[in-house]
Amino acid sequence: MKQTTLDEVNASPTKEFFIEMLTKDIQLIPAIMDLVDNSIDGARRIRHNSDFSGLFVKIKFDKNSFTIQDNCGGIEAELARSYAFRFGRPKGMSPTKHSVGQFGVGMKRALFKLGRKFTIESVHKKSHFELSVDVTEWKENPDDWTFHFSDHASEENNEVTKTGTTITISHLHPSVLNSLVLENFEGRLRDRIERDHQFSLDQGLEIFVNGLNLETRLENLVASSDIQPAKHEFTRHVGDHEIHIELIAGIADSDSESAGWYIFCNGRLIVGPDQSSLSGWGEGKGHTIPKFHGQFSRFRGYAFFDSDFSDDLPWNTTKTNVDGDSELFRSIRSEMILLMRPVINFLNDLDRENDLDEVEERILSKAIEQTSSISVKQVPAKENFSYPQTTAPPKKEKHVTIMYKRPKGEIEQLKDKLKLSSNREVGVYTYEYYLDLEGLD
Amino acid sequence: MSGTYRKINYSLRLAKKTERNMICDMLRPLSELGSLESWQYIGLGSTYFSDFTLFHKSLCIRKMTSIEEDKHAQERFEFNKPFHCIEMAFGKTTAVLPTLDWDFRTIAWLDYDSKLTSDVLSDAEIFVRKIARPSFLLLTVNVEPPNESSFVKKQNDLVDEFGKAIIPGDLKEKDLKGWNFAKLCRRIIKNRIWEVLMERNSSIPEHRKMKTQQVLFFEYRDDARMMTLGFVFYDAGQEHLISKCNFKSFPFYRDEDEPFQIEMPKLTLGEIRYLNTILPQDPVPCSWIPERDIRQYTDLYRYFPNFVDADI
Repeated sequence: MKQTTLDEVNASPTKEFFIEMLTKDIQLIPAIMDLVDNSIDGARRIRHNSDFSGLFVKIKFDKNSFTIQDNCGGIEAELARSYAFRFGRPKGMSPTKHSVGQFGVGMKRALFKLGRKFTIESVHKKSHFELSVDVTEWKENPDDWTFHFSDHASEENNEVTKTGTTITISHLHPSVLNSLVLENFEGRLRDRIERDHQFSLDQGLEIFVNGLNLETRLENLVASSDIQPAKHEFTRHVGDHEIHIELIAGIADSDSESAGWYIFCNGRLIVGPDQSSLSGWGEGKGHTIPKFHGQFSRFRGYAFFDSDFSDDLPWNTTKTNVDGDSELFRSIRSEMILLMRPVINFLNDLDRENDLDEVEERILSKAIEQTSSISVKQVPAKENFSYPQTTAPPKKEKHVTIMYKRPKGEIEQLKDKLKLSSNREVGVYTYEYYLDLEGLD
Repeated sequence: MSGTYRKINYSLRLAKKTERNMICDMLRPLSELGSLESWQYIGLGSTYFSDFTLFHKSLCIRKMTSIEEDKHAQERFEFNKPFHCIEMAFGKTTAVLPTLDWDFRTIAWLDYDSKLTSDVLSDAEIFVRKIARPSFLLLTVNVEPPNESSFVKKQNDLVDEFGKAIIPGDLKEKDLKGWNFAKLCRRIIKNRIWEVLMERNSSIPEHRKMKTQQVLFFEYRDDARMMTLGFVFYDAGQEHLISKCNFKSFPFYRDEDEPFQIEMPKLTLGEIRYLNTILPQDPVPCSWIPERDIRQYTDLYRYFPNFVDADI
């Protein structure tokens, strides 16, 4: 902004400042995740039935460049021209339905974070464009905040299978390079994508990092005629925006590191597995659900929040946590607690079963061993988690266990003398010997 | 291999002794970075302190610390210390390492009997974060491959121990068999060291960044398969001094994933005496001594312990 009169004070930002502010607080992996989120938003846009088979996101990088390529619908040229490269979300832009990247800044931030040159090629159903930017050159003109398409066309009719976006960033910043060349960096990126996008991977989306195909981590839940997971579906409103919620609760393998609640917003894992009061654990005495501990290692809960209007979902701006104070979340949390209670009861009963002497009486353990499993997305609607009801065992006199150690030589001698074969039998024999001697039995 | 006369007495741990002598030789050039008398040595000496004895006598290192996990036999260790300059530090390595004085150029040899675990990686991480001066890290671990029945179980065990992110994504069944497992362990250790170093360097000006190079990758097998890795650490501004150390000139220098296998030649005392009369010139082939044993002896003879060598 050139000063035209002496009254005018220049308060405009410099490009240098803007880029620095934009990129300084974001780490490299979250920046890359923003690009992945954009691709997956594309997938959700073109596959409303949520089957992503045939769609892919391919990430490749080395010391020269970083590329992310997808076949998930592309960016419309008009959107790119007028809105997608604005800094912030301008008024008048219609929301991207079911999007994960809703805050208007993810892609730009990642582009500037990674390197000094970038190219975007996009083929959309109705248009295509190519855009290349040399950031160093662009910074030289302080007043011109535009980029320029090197190629574009509209009024097209492209086949959906040929649509997609390829973003290439080169002349990578030294700090980015230092990370990208580490073998562990590739592993950590893979790990993060697999974790956060497990649901999309489960729906058939293929994601590659340097040629390696990622795997879904979504577990199957135990399901049979005896044991069935619960599922509730709700709709809530924020203003006149609809939010669709699904809650599923059940059991899987006994693994305390995987147990707890998994909370998804528009298909992306935000928090999980959560074992804290956020998802209802630890309400303590007099309240509904105990604190999480090892006994509940089989528990799995899944909460899916979906909306056309991502701003209304209960997540924070960095998509790293659930906003526990959101009214929407608080109302759903009480539903989560209700759904969780029968599973907790089951796990308590299962634990009590282990005290039973007769293995045949362990009905619940048997029921678990004999089940098959069901994938989370196939769980049918069901009011409550169900499991076999055990009849109360006959009132037996309570037994306690006595344990003590004695030198091996001594015990072996006794075994020989008494013609017994196990240490336990020696213990029982000597105990009963005493009772008998003292007339106590 | 036929012929019991060709078996050697594994309890003598000849490969381990040979390795120790080779390492001692390779540490000598570190004097380019500062006289070795001013360095400190940290090791896991146990009750024998063999490495301490060798490095004190051969390299003149005067500040030495032995870390010992067994806190209940302190008097025994103090009794067995061969020299006054050795200090004992009792506790687990992960607890003790952060408490030591790192204001010295440091040679640390973390010689574990056990397999690679996340605790071993933590110790390496502590070393990389704590060193304030040029230093040298040696790590020895048991690299016997896992003997679970299925590849999936072996893979899951690795993921449970280290987390999925640092297990190579392209892991194959053959990577978990035989000596290949040592290469996998090397990769995991090296990647973690590189990663921690990058984190350490991220907010430091260029000329003060710390760099590292792998210089040793030994494999040997007195009993169980073992591996030793050696890394030298130095300031970016000391690159020329590292060149002067000329680690590459050692025949057992290894900077990538090809190991130097320490194999003990099976020779009689008479055969050794005979070969010694010819060395260091190339020995002529001898019809009654296998070629392979001659070559192994020629490579290692300077480091080969004498049978009468007693640690005093």
